[in-house]
Amino acid sequence: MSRILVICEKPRAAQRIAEALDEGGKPLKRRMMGVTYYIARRAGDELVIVSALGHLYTVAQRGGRWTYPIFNFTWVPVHEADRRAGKRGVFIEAIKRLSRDVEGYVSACDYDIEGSLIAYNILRYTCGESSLKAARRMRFSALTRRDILRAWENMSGTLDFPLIEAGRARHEVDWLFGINLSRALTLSVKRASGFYRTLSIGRVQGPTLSFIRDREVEVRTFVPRPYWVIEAEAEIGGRRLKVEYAGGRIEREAEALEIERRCRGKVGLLKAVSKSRQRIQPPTLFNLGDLQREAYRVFRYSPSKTLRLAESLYLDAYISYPRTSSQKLPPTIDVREILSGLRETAYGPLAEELLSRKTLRPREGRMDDPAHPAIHPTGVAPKGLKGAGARIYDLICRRFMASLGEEAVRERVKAEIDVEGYLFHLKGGRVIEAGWMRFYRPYVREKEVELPSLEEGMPIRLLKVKAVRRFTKPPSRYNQSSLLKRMEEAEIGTKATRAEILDTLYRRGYVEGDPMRITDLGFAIVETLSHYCPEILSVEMTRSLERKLQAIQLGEVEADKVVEEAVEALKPILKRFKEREMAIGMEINRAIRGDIIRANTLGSCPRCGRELRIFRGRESGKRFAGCVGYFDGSCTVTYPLPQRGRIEATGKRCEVCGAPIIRVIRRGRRPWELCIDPNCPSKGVRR
Amino acid sequence: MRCKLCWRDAVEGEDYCTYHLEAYRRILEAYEDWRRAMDIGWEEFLREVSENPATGEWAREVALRLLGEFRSLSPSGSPFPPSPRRRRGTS
Ligand SMILES: [Zn+2]
Repeated sequence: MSRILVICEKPRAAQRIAEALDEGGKPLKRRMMGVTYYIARRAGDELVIVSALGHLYTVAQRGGRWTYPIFNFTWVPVHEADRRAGKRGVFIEAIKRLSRDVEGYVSACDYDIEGSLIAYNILRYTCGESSLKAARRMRFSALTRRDILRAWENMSGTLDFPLIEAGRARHEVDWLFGINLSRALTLSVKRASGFYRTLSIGRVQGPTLSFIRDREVEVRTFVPRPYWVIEAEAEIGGRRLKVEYAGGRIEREAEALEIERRCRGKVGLLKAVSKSRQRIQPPTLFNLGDLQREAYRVFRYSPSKTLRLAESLYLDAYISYPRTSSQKLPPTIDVREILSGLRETAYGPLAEELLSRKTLRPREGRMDDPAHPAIHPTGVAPKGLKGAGARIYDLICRRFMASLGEEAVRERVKAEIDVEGYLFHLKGGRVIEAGWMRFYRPYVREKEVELPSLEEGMPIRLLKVKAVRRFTKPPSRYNQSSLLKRMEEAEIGTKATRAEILDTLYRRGYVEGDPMRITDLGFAIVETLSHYCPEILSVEMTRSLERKLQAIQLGEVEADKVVEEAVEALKPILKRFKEREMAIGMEINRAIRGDIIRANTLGSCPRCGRELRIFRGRESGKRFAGCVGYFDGSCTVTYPLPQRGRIEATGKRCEVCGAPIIRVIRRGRRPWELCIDPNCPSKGVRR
Repeated sequence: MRCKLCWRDAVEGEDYCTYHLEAYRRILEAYEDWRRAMDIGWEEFLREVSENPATGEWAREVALRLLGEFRSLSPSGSPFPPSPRRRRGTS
């Protein structure tokens, strides 16, 4: 009998794996120093199944001061580098004790770069170098009993070193860029202004912020152009229907007015009616990016929220591993078995229908992933799934079934109406064969316009003809979903990290709102960097590093060589930065001050018209709003403010008393707006 | 020199920073298109642009400033924008 230590990534995964591997399905649950682990029996062996809590080790500076450049680093326990991660120290200690008298090791972390690295670091630093040789790797894409057992039977003989090396290099390169550039920014501001503010920029963050900046400049310098459209309505079979002028946009006002004059009140002739059929293919299977975009479109969930929910569904074994780029399902995955599982759920009738078919092939997309298939339900019937998690599950299940459905067919009708030599179009369309759409409702985008019966040569009276001036629109600002797409197209970041990078941009105060607006601080960071080290913002450098990191995974380059190259790339950048530190600091500092002033300005004083700002009482420490005229004694207008939550200007004025309307935002509550004046008669009812 | 409209440094020899200068350039370009599309003078164009919700905030700031400048410079209302060179000479 051997004792084997099985290392999992998260506690919920450890429990699932233990239950699947124990021959009786009932592993012993034990605790050591507060860390839960399991003892399972299998083929005469004793399996000790324990979990990490994500990464237990991280890259950190080796000795020295808080300065830059820093190229000297080492791997240390996360809790030593970050005091907030104190709990992880216990995991290291517990695993160390459990690994005594162990003869074999199994890495059962999620099968990707991060998972491979998590287990590798634990083996290397907690269990000792020798454990690396005695370790094997389980590879699975879902946490169902079936998948776990299959992974156990087909374990690889060694750890997956190319993946581990790629992960190690990625962490080291990201750390080198992040720590050096962030310190350079922070120290420059400290030197120029004397005050400390954490600023950061990273390898992927730079180009991403740059995308947002470029779009923002386009929006803010946009000047609309006028054009005209002809709005017209026709009466057909007793119904009023919109007709489109076939000439589309009209560039000149005179021409538009001429069409209006010639067609108004006239009777036209229906010249031609054409019908066509459009075949609409089923949607492709989801990869992570697709799921995040679709969840944003239909539920307005942020990419990071969707990832969190999908991960939880994976840990419950309801869906396959979500961090995948693949839009494909290999033939080894049994679609019928999954559908049979779904029979026990609310999708019963739909699953039944699919099962009755002879052949079942999902529609796949172009993108692939060597480690995992597209996201799909496992067929395990969910229990007690509620709220946002249930929504994401529904979306994934319906998408999976829709991809197995047949084409939908839509009939399009187009009629041409001739009025005084001008052509107008009447368009309609309806779905005549719903096909896959039945599985994907309510997420299908459908626009139905059914037309009355039309005959060529019939007279048609125009009820309304009007030349209407419109304006060209600026490009739209990025929202979280379109920015994610832009990052994917530029090949920067990974499917696992992109959502987190967006969160960091918000947390650092570089962007706000959704759609995303870049703040003055964000502007200043991009401007300064584009001035002094444009490489940091360039997609090329980030992308080329990204490709090298992938090459490590394929065994084409050595990890240490890529890390060395990153150091060489950083050296000249940091040297330039140091030389211009003062100038850079002053530039950024000005933007920070501008941002603070803007954030503290609530509108204009109803008495004298100057700015109303947020101040803090010198003794009470309480915040209040006051006119800037207070300083020179020329105006004494002040208002008390709510002490909790964030306060923003709305740009609106109270209709009753003319004072500014402010918005109060508190965590967990819907933001509300109110007149800043507590004595305003608009509040009479509530008082 | 500060930009006349924000806290950024002005481009050398200009009234504006790069962004407001870009907005100014786009306003002049747009004016050509507007005049081709309809019968409109410089002042009315600026008023239209400054009131249009689709106008970007930097373009609006420039338009408002030009409007004020134009009203103080040319009470008769010439249909042509003052050339940038002349504008700088008088300010
Ligand atoms: Zn400016």
